[in-house]
Amino acid sequence: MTTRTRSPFSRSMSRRSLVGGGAATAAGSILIPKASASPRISFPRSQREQDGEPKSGGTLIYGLSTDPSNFEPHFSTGAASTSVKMMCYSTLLTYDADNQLIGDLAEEFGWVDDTTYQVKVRQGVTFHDGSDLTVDDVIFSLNRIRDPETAATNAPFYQEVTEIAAGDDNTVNITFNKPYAAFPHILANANNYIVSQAWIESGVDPMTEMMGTGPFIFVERVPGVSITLEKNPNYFIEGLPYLDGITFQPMPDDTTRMTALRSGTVDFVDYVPYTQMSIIENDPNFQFMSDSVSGFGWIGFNHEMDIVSDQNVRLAIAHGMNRETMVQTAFSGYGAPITGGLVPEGMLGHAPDLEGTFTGDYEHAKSLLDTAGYNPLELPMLSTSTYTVISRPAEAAQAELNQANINLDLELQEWLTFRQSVADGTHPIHAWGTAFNYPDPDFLYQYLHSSGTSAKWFRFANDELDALMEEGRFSSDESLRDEIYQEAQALAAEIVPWVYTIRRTQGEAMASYVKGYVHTEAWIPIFQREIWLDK
Amino acid sequence: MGAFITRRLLTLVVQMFFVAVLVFLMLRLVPGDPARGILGESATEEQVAEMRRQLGIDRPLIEQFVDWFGGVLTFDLGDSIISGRSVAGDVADRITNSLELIVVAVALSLIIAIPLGTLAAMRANRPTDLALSSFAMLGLSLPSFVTGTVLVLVFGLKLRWIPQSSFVAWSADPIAHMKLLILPGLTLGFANAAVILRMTRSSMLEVLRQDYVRTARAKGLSEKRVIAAHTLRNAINPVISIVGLEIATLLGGMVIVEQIFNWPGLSSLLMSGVLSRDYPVVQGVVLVIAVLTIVINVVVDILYAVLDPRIRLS
Amino acid sequence: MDTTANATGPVTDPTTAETGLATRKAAPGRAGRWNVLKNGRVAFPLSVLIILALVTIAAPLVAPYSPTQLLGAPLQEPGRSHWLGTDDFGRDVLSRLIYAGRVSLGVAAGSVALATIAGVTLGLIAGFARGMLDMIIMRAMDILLSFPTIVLAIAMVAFLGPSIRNLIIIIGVIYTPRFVRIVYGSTLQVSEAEYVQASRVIGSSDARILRTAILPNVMAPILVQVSLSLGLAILVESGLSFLGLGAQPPTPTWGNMISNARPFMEMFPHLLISPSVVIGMTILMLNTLGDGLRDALDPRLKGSR
Repeated sequence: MTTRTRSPFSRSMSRRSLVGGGAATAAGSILIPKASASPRISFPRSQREQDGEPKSGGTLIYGLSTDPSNFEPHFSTGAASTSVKMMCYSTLLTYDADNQLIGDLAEEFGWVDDTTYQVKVRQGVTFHDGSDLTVDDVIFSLNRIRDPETAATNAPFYQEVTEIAAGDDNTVNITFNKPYAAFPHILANANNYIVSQAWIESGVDPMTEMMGTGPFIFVERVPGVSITLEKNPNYFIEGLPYLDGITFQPMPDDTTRMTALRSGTVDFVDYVPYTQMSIIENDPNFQFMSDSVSGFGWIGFNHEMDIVSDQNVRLAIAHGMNRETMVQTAFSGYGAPITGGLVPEGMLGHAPDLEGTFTGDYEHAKSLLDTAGYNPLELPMLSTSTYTVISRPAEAAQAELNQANINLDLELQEWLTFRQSVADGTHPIHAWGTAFNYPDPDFLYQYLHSSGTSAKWFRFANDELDALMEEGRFSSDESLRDEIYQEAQALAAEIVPWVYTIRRTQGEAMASYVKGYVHTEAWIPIFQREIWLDK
Repeated sequence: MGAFITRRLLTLVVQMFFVAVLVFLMLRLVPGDPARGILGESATEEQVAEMRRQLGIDRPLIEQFVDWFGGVLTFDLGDSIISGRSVAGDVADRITNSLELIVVAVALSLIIAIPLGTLAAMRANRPTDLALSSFAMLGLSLPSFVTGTVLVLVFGLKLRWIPQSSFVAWSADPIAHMKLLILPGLTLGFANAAVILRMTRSSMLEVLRQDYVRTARAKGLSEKRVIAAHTLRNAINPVISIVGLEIATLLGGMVIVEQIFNWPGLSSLLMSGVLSRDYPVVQGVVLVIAVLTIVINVVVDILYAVLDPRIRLS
Repeated sequence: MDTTANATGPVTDPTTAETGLATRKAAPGRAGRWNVLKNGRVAFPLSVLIILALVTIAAPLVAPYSPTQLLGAPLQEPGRSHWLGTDDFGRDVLSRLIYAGRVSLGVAAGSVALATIAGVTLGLIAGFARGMLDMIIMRAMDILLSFPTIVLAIAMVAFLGPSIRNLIIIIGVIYTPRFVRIVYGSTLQVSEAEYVQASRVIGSSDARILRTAILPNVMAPILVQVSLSLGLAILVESGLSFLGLGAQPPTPTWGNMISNARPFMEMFPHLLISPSVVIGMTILMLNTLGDGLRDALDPRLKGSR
């Protein structure tokens, strides 16, 4: 059981943080060190200590999996875009190598009371144009996110905010209707950058230009060719960045991108396809850093349609898939099965009792089908051809469910058509995948609460789950939240609003001389700022 | 000639209009919403609606079309709704890259194919011919992404002769830039070379049988002079028209090669535009390609007439 | 290309949308046409293709395994139990290859048939009727041809859905203009020939002229174009699969087998080799057939054989 201290600037502690004493870090926040690095991240922590003293200089050539469509700081334009934007813009909070929240533009941060969150804005930070970062800029940025006209991705998370105002001594107070424990993660989120009020209001187009407080300055963009950043000499963290610059080169074709890395054309790539993971892992000239936690696949239902509205049918589908086999089939083993709840081990709300609920029991699935009266069952399943990380688990599921007398006719549409179809509810079943928005079980809200975007696509509503989701979101008691989310997952396993399939391994690969990078479970590429080239 | 050109230009304008209408409607009929694409996966329906409003795509279709086409008539292709960049600007950049690659590919294929095709014709139905024709067949029979990937694998990765993926502008480093053109040029050119080889062969065969060639031979002119003076010129005609048409088709059809070699050309701009439903970009690119196709056709027709006055232009 | 047919322009290569124009001194006799089949350059590829088609049609009898069943051991090299190895899902490559032939050949045949029927109809109308109809049809074909294939393909797939039936429609629509132009050119040519003018003068009905004079002459270039287009259609299908617009998993097509093999190319080349060889050989045969047909059916070249 964890206890929660009420001192003004403590972070929410996860259950893992029991071990170890406290050691103060810079800027006054109390950092509670981890006992050991998370075992699920394939990155040897000791490696960093062996690397030695960072050298300055050099330009990193980065093969990017998608050409960012635009640079708007408050839209989510994909993980690849984040790799770029996060180098020019900063957020109030970010994550450290142990996936704990630390301050970035915020010097200190925490709840002053149940419904007021406070950040103390760091002094002496300048924007790339030389102007100072002020409290007004922070307030402006957060309000810009809240403004419906901006259509900012994070806007829904600010729904319960009643006021954002400056406090004493360079602080900003964010006041809520109700307590909102997961909120600090929102401040570390990739679409929550702090922008300069003067710059935005001067009429620039933030879609095509970037100007922030980040470790690198935006120089130019040639679409389809390159995005060039150069070192910010006035970056607020002393000594960083080590690199003189980063040049991003979009290479959407997986094979092309990996060949570029392996032939030395680029130093670093994001999003390694699973087909090349073993090649990279076994090549001493390269490093591969990944996690098998955050990316996950699911099968969703349109609860208003016949057949799948029957809980037994959904349960049959949940039981009719052997997740271990699916990890092999879909990703050659580069992933992890989800046999219980979605919240992974180590995150608040993980339900150890649920592990092993869904093991791929074809006979049990068939008997459920019999009860429902649909044995054998044939249904159309929708998925997308655009992303193999989504289509392969779909195909693997199809193969598995065949053995449980469930024959799914797969229809793969390209991305936007697929998303439209899901929103329109054209198919009874769809297979999709994504990653946690942030490392807090509150991310389940979107899927399980009837007002959540995904729940609306599922046309699903359950009062009990609604109550649990709300209680979990608006509670500030850690242990209570832990219980709530475990209960919610247990309920979800019974009524099956959606079915989780497998997690995937996702990570970056780089040449052996690229040092300093850490892959975070939250997929926040902040450690790009610590990269240095050992050559 | 003058009347011919004028007539063709008028046709161009009419055809352009129909192409514009066609692409405009086609894009709007296709399911998938650019607003949803811009906002990301967790966008609420309200946000999507707001974005649609901001993009102006919730207005009546006629209004949108008049707005856009009006701009086209003043050479303003609008701005991309996804990236915010000027469509005309991006098209200009990309088309240069595409044309460059096409020119290289065509040049390579002509250099390879015309001599070989001539040879094949001169040694018709003998082993040389068979070997060359089979080689040509191979070029036509393999998908471009197979040839391209194999070339990259062999020359780029295994032999490390040629860098193959990161684009360098001509202005930045001409030598590197030229090196980069080789593999994609060969890939594109391989299929082209095959076509031109067979074309050259068959039209050379054709011409070699003509009376005036036999006369020239009878007069005792050397084989080489016979070929050079009489046959090649006539045989070139169809090659010209092929090349002309290839250019037009390739501009929009080089997607696979551009993707494999990471070449920032017009096709990939078009493809990504369609996939993200970037209406102004797709409309702009399609119009430009359509106009170019028609213009090229006219040019080819004129060249045809210039090179062979026996052809009547009706 | 609107250059009219009086040129002694050589037979241009129909593989790239050219009008196949051949001056004809006389219509070949009916008996002569069937002699084509005796020609080695026609008979050989034709036989190979027929055998191939029969094998793929008989897939359930011929294939050692089911094409979609996971057999447990992914990415196996060719060996005794799996002659061509297994793919990344653990499915037998040989069986998938045979079944894939059905789809690839079926899509090609279906789409080319569609394009031929539509093309012949429209081309005959335009070439024979002339006037307004001619202009409308040919301009419409021009518009269609100047439209980038990618846009058409993606838009149609998004609109109609990625089923095999729709693939046939899509590729058929894409190839129709080429057929229209060939037929149009030939029709124009033939209808200006003296014997046709003569027919008109003596009062033969349009239908009779079409049937007896024009259609037979148009057949030759159409046949050539058909065999060449079949090859192209297979390539187009594979290109569409590469771009993610093709047939749905787990249905195999030669095209999607190749594009799925690409990420494994380095470590497991056998996955790429077998479908590439099969596609290559098939298209080779189709192109040889097309060449052979053209050489055999073109009376001007008969003397040289």
